[in-house]
Amino acid sequence: MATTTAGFSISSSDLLTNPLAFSQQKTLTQAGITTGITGSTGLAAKTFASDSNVVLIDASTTFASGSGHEKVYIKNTSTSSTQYVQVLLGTIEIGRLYGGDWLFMPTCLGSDDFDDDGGGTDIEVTPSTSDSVTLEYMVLY
Amino acid sequence: MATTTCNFTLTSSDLLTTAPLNVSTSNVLFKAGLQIGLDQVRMGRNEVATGTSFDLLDATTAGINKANWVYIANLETDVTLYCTIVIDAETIGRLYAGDWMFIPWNVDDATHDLEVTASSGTQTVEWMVIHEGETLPTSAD
Repeated sequence: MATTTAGFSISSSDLLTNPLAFSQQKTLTQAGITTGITGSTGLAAKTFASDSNVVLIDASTTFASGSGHEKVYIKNTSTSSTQYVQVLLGTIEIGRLYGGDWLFMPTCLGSDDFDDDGGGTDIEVTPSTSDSVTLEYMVLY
Repeated sequence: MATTTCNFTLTSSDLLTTAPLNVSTSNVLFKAGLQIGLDQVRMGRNEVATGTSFDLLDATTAGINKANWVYIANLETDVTLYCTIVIDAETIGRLYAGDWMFIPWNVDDATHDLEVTASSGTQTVEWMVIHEGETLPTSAD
């Protein structure tokens, strides 16, 4: 087992009249037990120069099975405030990453279709323009 | 406008054998396609009873194509417990005890709710959404 820690913090001095600041840390563990995760795809980078929809992380071929505790990190490394990349679960859009934006979320990678809708759990991306944009991403499991 | 900064760190000395894992990034939360800071926020803590899928964040048409950033944390400590997070009826993943997530949330229609279901017992989740585009519902009484 490995000890892998994911941390989040947010701060603002002017979003509210009082300063906003909090942080959260979690040692990433396997599903339902205290044993640390053991796997990672490593940090990868992929550059897109098209506005076509593509599979960024193929759930069923990347992992034989999933348990829902897997985590995904994706960052749009561009600096554009107008170009974005849609992040989708199949046809369902989660959200948009503009330049510098990142996300960290659990995912249901694997051959299991957790909601039994036949839609699979691939993580797909669609750049908003054909301008070159690079995503960094990593799966932890 | 407000300046709200979110930071992410991912560290491990033993997940990879080739080198320590050390990922760090931050972003300032802007309105969609602009470099103007988000200036609206909602946050809360809810007890989620098992057996029912609840709308944690209810999508509205006022939020379509606006910037919304969502933080959700499962505050439980029993590692066997998890909450399943769903967007528009598609499962994102499971937040086990202590897990957190931070995602952009694009409300592309009024059914794009973020839903939560507890695996067992009554679980406490904390959440925050920093956003634009919200209009308060008209009072009906």
